[in-house]
Amino acid sequence: MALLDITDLRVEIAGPGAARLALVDGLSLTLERGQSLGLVGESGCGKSMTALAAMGLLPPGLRARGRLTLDGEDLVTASEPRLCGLRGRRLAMIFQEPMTALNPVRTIGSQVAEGPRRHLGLTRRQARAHARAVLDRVGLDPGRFPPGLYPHQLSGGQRQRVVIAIAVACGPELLIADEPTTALDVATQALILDLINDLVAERTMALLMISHDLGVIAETAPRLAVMYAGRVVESGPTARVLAAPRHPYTRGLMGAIPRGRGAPGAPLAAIPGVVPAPDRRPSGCAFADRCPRADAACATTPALRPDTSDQAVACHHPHERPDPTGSVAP
Amino acid sequence: MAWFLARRAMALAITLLAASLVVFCVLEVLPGDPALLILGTGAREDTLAALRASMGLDRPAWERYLDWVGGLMTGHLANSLTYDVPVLALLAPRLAVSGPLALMALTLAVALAVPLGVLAAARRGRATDTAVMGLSQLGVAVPNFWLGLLLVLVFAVGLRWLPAGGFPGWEAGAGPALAALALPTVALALPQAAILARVTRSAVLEVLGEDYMRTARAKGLSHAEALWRHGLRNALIPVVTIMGLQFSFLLAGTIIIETVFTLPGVGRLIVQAIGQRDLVVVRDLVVLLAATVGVVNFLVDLSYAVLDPRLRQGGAGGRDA
Repeated sequence: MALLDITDLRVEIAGPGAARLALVDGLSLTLERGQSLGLVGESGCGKSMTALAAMGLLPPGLRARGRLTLDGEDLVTASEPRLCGLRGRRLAMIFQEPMTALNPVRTIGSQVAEGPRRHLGLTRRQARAHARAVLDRVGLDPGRFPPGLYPHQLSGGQRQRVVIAIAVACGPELLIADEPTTALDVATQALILDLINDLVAERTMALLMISHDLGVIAETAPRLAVMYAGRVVESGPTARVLAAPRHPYTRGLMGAIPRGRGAPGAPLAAIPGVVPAPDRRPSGCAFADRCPRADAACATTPALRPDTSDQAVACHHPHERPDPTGSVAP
Repeated sequence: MAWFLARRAMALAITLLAASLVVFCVLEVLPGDPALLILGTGAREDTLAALRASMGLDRPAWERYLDWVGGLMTGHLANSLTYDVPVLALLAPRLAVSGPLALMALTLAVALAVPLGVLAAARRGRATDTAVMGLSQLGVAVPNFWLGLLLVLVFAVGLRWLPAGGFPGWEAGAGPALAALALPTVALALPQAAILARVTRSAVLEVLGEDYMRTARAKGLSHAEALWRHGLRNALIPVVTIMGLQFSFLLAGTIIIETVFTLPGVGRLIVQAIGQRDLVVVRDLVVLLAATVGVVNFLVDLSYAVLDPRLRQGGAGGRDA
């Protein structure tokens, strides 16, 4: 059984009427125990909502429907007390904004100790010692960074280490990292990604790495799923998808990465148009309006079809697969 | 922390100095001769001059100002013009009424407002929220003297549970004294509580949207636990600020409420002293009130430092990695 199994997940704006807006619209993905999956897509495509739905922490007014199971237990229908018992213990989350994710009026030690005290049945003193050890593990040596420090006494990268310590403190089986490096400078980004990779490897956690940055995904996840307008449009082994993207959107996304080639001042390749808002999505393929290959067939929604090489694509006119010998078409 | 305290204490001292100067100058330029007031218009000019000399009124203003401020600081206050007793002797029994009244009103206001505000925020948009906000709207709109009269009508005249006014003195025992203060306390506290409840609600609502609340929930804390352990302390910062500002309104309120309930408090003493042109009493009391407000705001500043670690140190944080 997969550790995380999401089938046909919809995240809707709650309200009366049949025409509910869906921010996530029929998303499916699975994540095996101890494996890492990257979820990539533009802002507003529903990545974070998928993560929050898995945590059961959707903002007020939003509601998840569909199947979303952790180790066989349905998280959509689970009671709130049950979810409180799971959050932090079996699944945990790292957030995007280290500057605001920590409570400014409580010490970092007490914020890390809170989870273990509640989930691991530790006494106050034991929890404090545990927090010290976890903070040390994420690179905040207690000699220089005593647990009695407050968040404002730390830099952004150090705060993100505290957020990571909070997430891994109880040894969760699933770690969701939602843009964990987006708010950090490049040098710090690499350090934080290394730390996450190391922790995932040594604790055999499953990792759902959410990012708009294909580079981050390539460094942390052997498999990836590309999201567009609330759905997965392409998935497969990261190396293969990045080498030979089949969905026109994935191809456009890769073309838009600045590579330092070409004359300075030359325009970057960009996908024309913007991601349609949830209430403006065309029926059928949501990418059709921006797609160079779109035709009449794209008026129907394409299903995510796996091919023989473990890569799946939801497109009526996918790019051809490179020849089976493994060499990559130009 | 020491630096923070020193700066705040300095600000308090400057405020008090400014207040004493303003009070002194205003009373100085006000028409009216205290000697004439005491002796009456029929007094002879040389008697008036002798009295002025004995009261020190013939000396230059700056000398009298320094005398007065020196007296305030050492506790040697001048005599009341009307009663010819030291202002302190006049003040002490009044403070024994007004002090407890203000403290009890403040406590009651906070005890009502904070839980109601938190409750309304936690139940945002539901019936509880609407009810709390409706009541507080009413509380903000109703003037406290009218509320006082209404309370007298219901609880003193109608139900005969509590006295309608007057004060038996603490020597009559705590029971009767507290009973006499009960209705004035409620009349003072309710409008304050109404404002504080609204401030608490909006402060908690703001905190509920903060990222760290989501972090707390992601650890496995329930909604209520996250609010209690992570939200409340952050939400209290604006609440305490408003409490400090409200305190001066509370003092102004005691002046009115003591008149409504005929309580022998500081507020009534001021009203009487103004009526009798007892300028010695007026200036001392006004400075006393200013000092009280100043000290309360000093305490508010101190409580910020307790609530928010970011204010405890002068320099901004950030260690290099």
